[in-house]
Amino acid sequence: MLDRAQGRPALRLRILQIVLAVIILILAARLLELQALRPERYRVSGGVAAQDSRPPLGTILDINGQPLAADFFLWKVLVNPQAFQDEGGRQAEEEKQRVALCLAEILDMPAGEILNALHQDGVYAIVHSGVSLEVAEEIERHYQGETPPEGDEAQALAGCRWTRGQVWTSAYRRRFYPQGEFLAHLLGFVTPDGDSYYGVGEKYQEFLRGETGSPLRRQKAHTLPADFSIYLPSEAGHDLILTIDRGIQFVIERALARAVQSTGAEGGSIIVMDPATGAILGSASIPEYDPNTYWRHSEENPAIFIDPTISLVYEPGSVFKIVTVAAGLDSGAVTPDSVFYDPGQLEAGGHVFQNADRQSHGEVTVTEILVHSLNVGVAQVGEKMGPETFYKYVARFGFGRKTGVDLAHEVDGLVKFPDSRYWSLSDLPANTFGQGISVTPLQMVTAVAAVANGGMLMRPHVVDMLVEDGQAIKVPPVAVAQVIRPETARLLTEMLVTVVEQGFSRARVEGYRVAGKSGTAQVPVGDRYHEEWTIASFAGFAPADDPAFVCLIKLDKPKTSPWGGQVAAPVFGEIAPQILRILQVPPDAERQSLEED
Amino acid sequence: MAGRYWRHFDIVLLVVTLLLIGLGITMIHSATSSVPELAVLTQRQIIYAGVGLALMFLMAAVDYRLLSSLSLVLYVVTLGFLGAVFVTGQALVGAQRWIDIGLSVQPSEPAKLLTILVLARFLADHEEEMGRWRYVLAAIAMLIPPVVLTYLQPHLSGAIVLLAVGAVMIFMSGLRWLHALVFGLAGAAAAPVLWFSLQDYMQERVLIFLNPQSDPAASYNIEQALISIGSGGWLGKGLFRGSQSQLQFLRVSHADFIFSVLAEELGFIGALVLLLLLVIMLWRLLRIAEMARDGFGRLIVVGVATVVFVQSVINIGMNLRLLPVTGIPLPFVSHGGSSLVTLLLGLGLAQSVAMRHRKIEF
Repeated sequence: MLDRAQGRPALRLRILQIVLAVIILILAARLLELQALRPERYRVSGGVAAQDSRPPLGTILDINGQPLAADFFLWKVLVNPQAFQDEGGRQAEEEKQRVALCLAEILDMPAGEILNALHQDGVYAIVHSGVSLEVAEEIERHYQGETPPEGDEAQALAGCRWTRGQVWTSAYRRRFYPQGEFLAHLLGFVTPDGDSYYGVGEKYQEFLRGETGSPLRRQKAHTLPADFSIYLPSEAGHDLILTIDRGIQFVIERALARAVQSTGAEGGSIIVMDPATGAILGSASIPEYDPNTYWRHSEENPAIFIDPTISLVYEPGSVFKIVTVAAGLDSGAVTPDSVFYDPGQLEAGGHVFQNADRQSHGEVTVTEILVHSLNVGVAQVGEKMGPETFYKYVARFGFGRKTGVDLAHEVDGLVKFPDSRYWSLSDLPANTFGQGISVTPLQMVTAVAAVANGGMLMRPHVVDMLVEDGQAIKVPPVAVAQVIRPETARLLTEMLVTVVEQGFSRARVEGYRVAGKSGTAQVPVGDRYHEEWTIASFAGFAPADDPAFVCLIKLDKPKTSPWGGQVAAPVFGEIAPQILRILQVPPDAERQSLEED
Repeated sequence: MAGRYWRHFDIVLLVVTLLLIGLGITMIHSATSSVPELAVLTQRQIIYAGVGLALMFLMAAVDYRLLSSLSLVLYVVTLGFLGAVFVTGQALVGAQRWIDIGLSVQPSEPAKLLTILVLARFLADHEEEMGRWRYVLAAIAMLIPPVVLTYLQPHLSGAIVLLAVGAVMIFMSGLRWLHALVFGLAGAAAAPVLWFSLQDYMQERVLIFLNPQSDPAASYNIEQALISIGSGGWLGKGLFRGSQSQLQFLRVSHADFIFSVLAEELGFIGALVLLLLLVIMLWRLLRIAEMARDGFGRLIVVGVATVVFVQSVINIGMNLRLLPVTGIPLPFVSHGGSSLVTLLLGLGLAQSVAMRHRKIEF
């Protein structure tokens, strides 16, 4: 037995060793053949075949046909310092200097740098890592045997001649974002290998590469509108037209940057959406990055690539009262004029909740609760309808699950429903005024958009048209559900108009009725709220009777004032008139007189 | 005394491991130095190596025999690991969304190690009965689920590695020659069936290998790899001077084609040094297998050695156009955290076996 257990493995190990040795000897023999025995076959470096670095990716345009992301080529300029040795008996050094001077003229760079490259060891040196097609072609024109260039400028370079072995160019594909940091989070970035990360680029990666057809194949295709034919179709043949309006995007990015700077906020986001279709017209977030040079961030701060509007959550604070009151009205638990007695504080589940001003407001109507943003009042509205009704509406409005927007890496948010073991009695009042519940900015603006859209919740989207082989396929709007009745939406809109008219003078827009609500949320740190930090926000839409856009402004940890009404509402007042102008919405009076005619 | 175990720690094996990793980091640095976007890969590989080495020592400190009793759990974990891909729908598990680019785990890597452990336990338990059909078939039946799941990832070459590891381990545990012959013939007979069940891209790669002219675009990289290796000559062009890799004619040069970069820049001598390091590593591993105090330990080390060997041969064979193109990294040298950490954990296991090869000293 001992013999079997000990002896046999030893024999088999010996066999294994022999097999391994033989295979490794085969590898070594092949190496010897390739590297030492027939090296002449491979001595010449293969500089021809490697023209394209990766397959092309489709172009991305905004709704008006302005380019947002596109592939383009750059050319490397290379020289072979060893190719100057025995040129027709001339001195190699002299020739190198002549070539350096010529290249310096064409490339507009110091001749000394080129001369340095020409004196390196090895069979190649990079002179310039990225020149345009024109420059690359100029270099080609100076190959021996080509027709000499003509014209005055060319006269100076007439004597410049080189061979393909001495100077050559090599094209490579790059992703270019013509507007730099503009819309960066929503677009994402592309690595040199052609892999897309984040945003619409990652979501539609297979389509943009031409690997898959349009996900909407069954939809009717139209001929591509003429406005887009300057840039489309691209080389890849699969392109996207976004719902983003570059004008609106510009307005909100500028306003956000100013607001963040003037309030001392750490960052923030603005989203603008068409409530009727769920189309995202603009989406801006700070901090931002330049996708053209994304790798500068990829090590020290990869979190900057995350789109805060879909991948990060926050507690929305009082903006969420819109949802609570919508639920109260729609379920019939309250009317705008229902009266509650506000004692200034309320106890539930062992927690005491107070109004922001720590005051009692006596008898108040539901409208007044919204106008003065009374936490105690809205908590009573919540208790009146009960947790079952309240959370039914919270779920209906889409909280706690992805909106389904066509962007990569959207998250669910976090809502504790009463059937969860983490839910406690104190969650109901806290949730009614938007604390203890985590939502993405996109979820919040989508919910408010449902109110603006007569109670119909639309799925948000950023792609307006998929373009394939010159045919454009329109992405149809998707209605998710009628979350509140149209009458409720109308009533609530009027209440939100009152909120703006009585509360936020700086959110008003001359000539248009505006509906809106501010929020000032405390920021949870660990298991408690931070004493100073807030997230100040404002959600609003206009015109109130026929909303053309919904907008959410969110500022993180503003320093000048913690209050949403003071830092975020004025941003709405600043951008709303510009957005209405871009969307060509006539003032209320004009529209109504038109309708009467 | 726990300290006494460390006297039997295999220092030669450790030194060879460090040399291979160091060579790998140097080549990755060289292969990526001309692309600023890829410069971070070197730092990442250093971090992976640090984490992997720490885990290796930790693994060595644990008595491998303790893992024997976890066998069933490990088997379930293995299948869970591989199955998770089909549940989450993406081939990367354990990734935080925002670090998708950097930290994601390829489940087939740890699955290799887990399969070795599970199979070693079974084979060691039944070492006396491995001459009998039913035990051989039972061992094969244990091997099939992880192989199939790996194949479905889809990761054909990973499945082949697992299959090779299983075959060698079963052979080492005392498979009869007659049985080996029968299985060999059965495998050959099944080859046509397997061929037609391969996914399209897998068939395509094999066809391109057999006839490179059929698709010049697809055989581009292997052609560039051959040019790289051939132009390296005896002594190579020098670090950072390989025109093929520096000018990016050769793609994925930091990962699956790192051997070509090495052969171009360090020449025949450099490539031979790499082969030599691998040979020394295998020699040390098989030496540990020979000294192991029990069948379980011996089979673990044989399994680890087979993984190192098979992956090296598949990768280098691909670079030399002796084998079709597959996605197998060169052990310890190619860029990639999952592969490196898994291999180092495997070496930790081997060290654990080495350290306990004699009876406990009082």
